[in-house]
Amino acid sequence: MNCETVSELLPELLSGSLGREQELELLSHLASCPDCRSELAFWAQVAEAEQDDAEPMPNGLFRGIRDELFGAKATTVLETLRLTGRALGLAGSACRLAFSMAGK
Amino acid sequence: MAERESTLISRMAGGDEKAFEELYNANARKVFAYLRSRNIDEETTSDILQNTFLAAWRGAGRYQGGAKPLTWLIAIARHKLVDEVRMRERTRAAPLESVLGGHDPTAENEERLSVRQAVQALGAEHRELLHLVFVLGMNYAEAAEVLEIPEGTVKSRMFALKRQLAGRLAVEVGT
Repeated sequence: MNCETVSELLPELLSGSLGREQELELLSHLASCPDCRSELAFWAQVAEAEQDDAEPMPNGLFRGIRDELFGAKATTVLETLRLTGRALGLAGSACRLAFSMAGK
Repeated sequence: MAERESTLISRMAGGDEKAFEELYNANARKVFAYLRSRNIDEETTSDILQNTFLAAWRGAGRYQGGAKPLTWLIAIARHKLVDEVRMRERTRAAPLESVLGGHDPTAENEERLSVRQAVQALGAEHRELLHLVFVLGMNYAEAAEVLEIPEGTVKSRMFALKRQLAGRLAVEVGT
């Protein structure tokens, strides 16, 4: 692999998108070529600058998409199950309390 | 990972809502970051993100499996962005340059810039390519697919932006 080819592939090396074999070949060239290593350092700085600029996503966007596609049904079913579970739990506690009081 | 996500799309085509949620969780942040990198506001970005995933659900049956799911989603997002820009141009809501993050090349700074400043000063076309490769981890072939240009053009753009950055940073870089 010559310097021209390596130079072309350095961004792909940094993006982690090269195949294993090509990556090893490129790393082997870099081990013996200071010019290409210095270009790799340059691209690494560029990659870092671009990655630093990536912004986080706000929460809650999926709910809008889900409601648009599936209506409020998905949310309601889930919430109904939660409420039913909670209601059953409360009913059980009430029964246990009633039995224990009746037993006294 | 990509293979598993391809399966998710097949399941979506069969109406599997859980598969859709999984695909969203695996990719939404990357699609959002890509759209934000195009210099559009957060509200519009959120709208386009939603439209992208709505289109993905509705178009899951047409997914060929050739492209990675992320590449497929970014391509959809890019088309949605272009639609948004055209709509804004029609309604004159915002000029094209501000939506697509156009850069004024005459605003060249003679001073030596930091790498970050130099990257930020690149034109929208070059920033988009850097984002696809360095943030989304695409190879040139995938970036070419998203940008709808030949892979050779991706390589020549990469070379041109390297020259541009090196010039601005006053450094010598490779071949």
